[in-house]
Amino acid sequence: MLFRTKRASLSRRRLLRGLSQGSAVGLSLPWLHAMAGESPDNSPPDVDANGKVKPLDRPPVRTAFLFMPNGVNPTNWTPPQINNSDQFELTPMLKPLADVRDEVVLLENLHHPNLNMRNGHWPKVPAFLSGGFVLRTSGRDMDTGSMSADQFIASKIGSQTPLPSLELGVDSAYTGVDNVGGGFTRIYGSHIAWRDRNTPLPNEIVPQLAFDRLFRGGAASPPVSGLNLHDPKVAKSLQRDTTSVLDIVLEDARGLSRQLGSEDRAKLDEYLQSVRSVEQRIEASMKPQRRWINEGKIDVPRPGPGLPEQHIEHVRLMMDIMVLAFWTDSTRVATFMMGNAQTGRNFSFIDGVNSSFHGISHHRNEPDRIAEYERIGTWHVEQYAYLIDRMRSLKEGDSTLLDNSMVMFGSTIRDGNKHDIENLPLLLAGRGGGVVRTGRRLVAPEKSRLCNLYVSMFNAMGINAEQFGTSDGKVDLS
Amino acid sequence: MPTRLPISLHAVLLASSLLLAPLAEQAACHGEEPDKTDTAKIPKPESMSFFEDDIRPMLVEYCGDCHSPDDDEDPVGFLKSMTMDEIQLRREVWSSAAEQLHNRTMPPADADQPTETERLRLSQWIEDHLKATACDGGEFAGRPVPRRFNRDQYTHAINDLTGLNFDFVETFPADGGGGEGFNNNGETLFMPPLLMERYLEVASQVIDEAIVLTPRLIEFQPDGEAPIATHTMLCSTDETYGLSIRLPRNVPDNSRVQVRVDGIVAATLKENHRENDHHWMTLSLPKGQHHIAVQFDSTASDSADQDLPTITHARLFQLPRIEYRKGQQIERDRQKMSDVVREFAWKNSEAPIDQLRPKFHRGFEEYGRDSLKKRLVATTKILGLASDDDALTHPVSREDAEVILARFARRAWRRPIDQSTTARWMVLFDHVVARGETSRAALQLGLQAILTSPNFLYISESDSDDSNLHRITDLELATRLSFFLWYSIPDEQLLKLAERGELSQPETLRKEVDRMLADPRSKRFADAFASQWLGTAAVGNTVIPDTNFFKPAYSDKLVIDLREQVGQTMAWMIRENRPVTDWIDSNTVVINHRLAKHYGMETTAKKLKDDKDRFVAVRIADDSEASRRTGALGLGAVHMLTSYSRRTSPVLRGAWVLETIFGTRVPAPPPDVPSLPGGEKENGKKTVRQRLEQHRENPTCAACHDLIDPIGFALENFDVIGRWRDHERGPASEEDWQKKIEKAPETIAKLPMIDSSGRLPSGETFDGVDELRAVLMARQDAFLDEYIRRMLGFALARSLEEADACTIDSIRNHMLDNDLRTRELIHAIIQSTPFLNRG
Repeated sequence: MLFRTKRASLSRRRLLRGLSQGSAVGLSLPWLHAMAGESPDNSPPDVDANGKVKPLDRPPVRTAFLFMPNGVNPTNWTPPQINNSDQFELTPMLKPLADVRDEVVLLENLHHPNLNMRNGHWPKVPAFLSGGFVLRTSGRDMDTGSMSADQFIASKIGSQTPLPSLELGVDSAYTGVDNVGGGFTRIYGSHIAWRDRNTPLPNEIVPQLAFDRLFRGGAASPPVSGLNLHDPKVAKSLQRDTTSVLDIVLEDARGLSRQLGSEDRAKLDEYLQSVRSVEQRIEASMKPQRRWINEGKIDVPRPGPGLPEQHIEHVRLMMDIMVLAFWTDSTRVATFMMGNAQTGRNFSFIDGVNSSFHGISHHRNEPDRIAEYERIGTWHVEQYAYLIDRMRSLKEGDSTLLDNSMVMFGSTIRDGNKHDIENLPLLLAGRGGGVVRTGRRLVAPEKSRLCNLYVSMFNAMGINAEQFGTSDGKVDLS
Repeated sequence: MPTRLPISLHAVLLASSLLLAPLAEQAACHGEEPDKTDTAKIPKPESMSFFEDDIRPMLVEYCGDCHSPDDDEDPVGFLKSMTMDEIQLRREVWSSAAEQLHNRTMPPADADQPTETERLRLSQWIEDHLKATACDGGEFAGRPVPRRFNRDQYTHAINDLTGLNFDFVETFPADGGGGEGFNNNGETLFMPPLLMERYLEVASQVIDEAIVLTPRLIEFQPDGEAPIATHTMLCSTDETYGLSIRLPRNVPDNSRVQVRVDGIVAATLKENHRENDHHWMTLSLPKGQHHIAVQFDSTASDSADQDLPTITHARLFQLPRIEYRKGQQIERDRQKMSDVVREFAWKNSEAPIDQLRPKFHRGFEEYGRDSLKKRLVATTKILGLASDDDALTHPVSREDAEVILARFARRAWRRPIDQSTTARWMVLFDHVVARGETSRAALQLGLQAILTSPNFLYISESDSDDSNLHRITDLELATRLSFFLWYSIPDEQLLKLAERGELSQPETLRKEVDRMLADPRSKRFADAFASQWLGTAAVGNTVIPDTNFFKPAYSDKLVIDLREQVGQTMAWMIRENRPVTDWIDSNTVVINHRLAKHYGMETTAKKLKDDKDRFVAVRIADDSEASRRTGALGLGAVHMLTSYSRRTSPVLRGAWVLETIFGTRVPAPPPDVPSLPGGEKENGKKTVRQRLEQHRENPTCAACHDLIDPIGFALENFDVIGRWRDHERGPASEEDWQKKIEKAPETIAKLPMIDSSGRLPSGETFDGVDELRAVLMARQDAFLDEYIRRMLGFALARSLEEADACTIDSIRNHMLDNDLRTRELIHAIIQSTPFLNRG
């Protein structure tokens, strides 16, 4: 045996990596530059003298919503009031925030008014970001009252990035109808992102697929190196492959649509919309967008196939992928469900925990059960702290990725034993590009609406909005 | 029978013969006269104008303020029905009104409430009236919305089309579910952009796997005057190649060879890589255009001034693919493959390339082994090659391509394909050929377009807004049938019959359904339907016991067996055409070796020990332990589903039986009901039964739990993971328990016996699961309706509506005339109005 073929073999990924300082993230960038050189003809003002699209001159604001199911132990969540101060002690559940407390706002007295007690869990999941009244249904006429806040953002600024939004999770969607729980389709319990009030967006739960999605332009494989194209005509032809396929299936869909009644047509519209959205992604990848380009590298290797065995590894991988998406400006809005409603996941990997999250959330006010329940919630806060720290460690010009982000974390249940819905346990991290004053508690007037916060967050992202969902004002973030 | 079964327990007490007696007790509890309505039969109104005189005025009193019949803008408006006949005009709203009354969700809490008797009388009258008039509205078929394949259907369809064995469980997000509780329900299947992206990709991967391209063997050419051998190639798929280089004679020992790919140095091959003047390296090239250049490295220090010779002999050999397996194996396999092909290349380096090619193709096929063979079978199938054609190299002409695409599309789209449709894919074909790819490769885009089209991905039926009830076409019927019974696309015979318009002839249809049920593909239906109906699909996924606690008795293998038993039981009921009531009680258990052991059926376990996986039907006469295991109540998957993570739950089990077997909608507990004291664990002092008994001393709790708990108690002999137990075991973990009884087996006898006795409010008493079965068998009417409703919902892939009541009625009658046979149910559903029609 003479050759070390393994070393000499040349994979596409390695080729790409060779061009981009050894980081996996480099995947999208050289291509981006290469493509940038290609369309000097329709020069908008954000194109420089060489025909290259100028990157943004300041980082954009990114927003993430993290959902935790099953609520918290209220007494060890909310700190006691210190007179007239907006500072707060770290209660046991907030302890994991010790190192990042300056980056965080503790939000109090926010809630959604429409989450009545028809069922403990199902309607409260879509309502997290829609704020709406969620219709009880076995699925025929699902209605969450409104599109979700993240999708509202995506509808306004999603076209500026390769991915309009990113939906991540760790649990598979639930199947079936919960008849004992009042006849709700379990779909409600598995989705916080809703494209419109009737249409949920699924979460990606496989890390590798989520990772790859960030670096796929959607077009047929890009030329490997972006260099040395012997025959530009062939290269162009290759790039057109996917769009030609999409053109044909779009035609199929229109043809099919003509044979349908109007209700059926409305259902098929989902297909048309999604094809268009893929097309837009491809177009966007051909005509570069004005994006923010970070110097340097970020260390997020491509995850292996399948689901990680350890839950903590799974959660952190998904968080890393979200950070990667923000850092590469692949999207500016993301959601992450750290568990579906009523998740029966067993957290016995935490010391002192033997139970499933939902099971133990019905703690019946028994001290040892509460203690267990609290540990699981605290573990989630720990993961949130990890994310904050990670984003803080990434420089963006003179600031950090975290400074240019808003990362909300919380649950739409306060105490899992009672399924109560007021004064929700919520945290907001990051300065939103300078709009948010962090390191304090923000005590809104009692029973203020959570949608008010969303409107203020939209504004921080530069989106003009005065009203969303059930909002009746705004929350002062400054 | 109303299709939306009443949610309130009280209503159930009234509505089904199951629980006639307890109503009396119940009403008496409330200090009111028991209702005398004989609900087992269609009620006779007191007078012809009973509705106008009695019922409606009462409804006007409690509901009229908000739902005034004069309010044209009120979308509810059920009181606009002035007569019984006019109820027919808005059955759906009336059904909802009855349900809301049952549920106490209407009138709203801050409005005047009817008395309990009034509430019951109103809701019951409406229910009974709707039931009695179910068929008065004429025929109803409904209009299922276009529904995309769910993940399982997509997988089966792709595998049936290609003959390959793909698994997309981790590729696509799981499908939610709705309607009658199944994940094929059209209204709850969506097409978000993420899914669209994935369909595109997966289609391309599937075709890449299914169509083997003729492997490439390429000779490099000198690049003009420069001392370089180059090749520019267009790769249609991602492949790995071996590059073989033979150096000219008399090359200095220290010279190095540089290989560039797309302008980047991929390798610099040094002297110590050389063997008999040959070099070898592997290259993985993705789909796309590549430029490969081989030359001596002029930058190497001491060869800089020399005039370096040109490399004249460089050849590229495509390597057979390595089947992906988990772990390290893949690198070793890759290395082996590279070695084998290198030997071949070097041994034959003198042979002219054109003469070498056939030999190379034979070698390629040989080295590709089983995975290539499987792919070639798929290629033969899709290209329509004759058995003696060489699947690896057989040429594809443009005319062939047209035929191939049309044939593939016909199967995938389940209908004949006209020429103008094929022409569009041929545009793609020509486009790819024009840029220099082979015609096999040029098929890829067209096939991708076929598999990404809504004509493949959606089950939809043509319709128009102004159409009345009408037959679906035979082709549409073929698709409905195959997605119902095979969870996949129709086969050639179904398509042919449909194209000839013969499929819908009742005798043909019946014959075809029997053929489909006899086909192994019907197991997919058995699995999908039974596991979702019983809810056992969740076992080991979202419902999982405390695995540490139950180690080593609990294992992944056990869970797989437990789930498999559910589908196997259903498949057996279809195969043997068993009465549907075998789900309640039966003389047979379907089981394999491991489960027999787990269940303590030693006789059977011994018999099956030679083939541990195979499920067989065991008659209870042949194993004294078997009778406990018959029907749904004996399934370990059900016991696990209805347990908490460490203890069994009579409440969950009782509620599950009422809900799943009888379609009773057990209400969620009122918000102010205190919960069971003592927590999840067996606390040693009191059994769950004792604690529940305490709980039922509260009359609010007793209302429901008197009905739920006794059924659950009768199942207490089954532990969390489905084993039989005679004694309460206390809070010890499995491992501790095993140690304990090993040390002192006599302790078992000292433990308290399981008390599995129960008494229903209606008076029947039973002890243990066998006696419970007998009691439940006596109430099979309610089961029959529920079972019909669920399977009809599954077959139609839509939510059932009030108007489907008539169909359920007629299917029930058919069943009663045919000994409740499973296949008769399937036939009746398929021959029913909603299955054969739209509108």
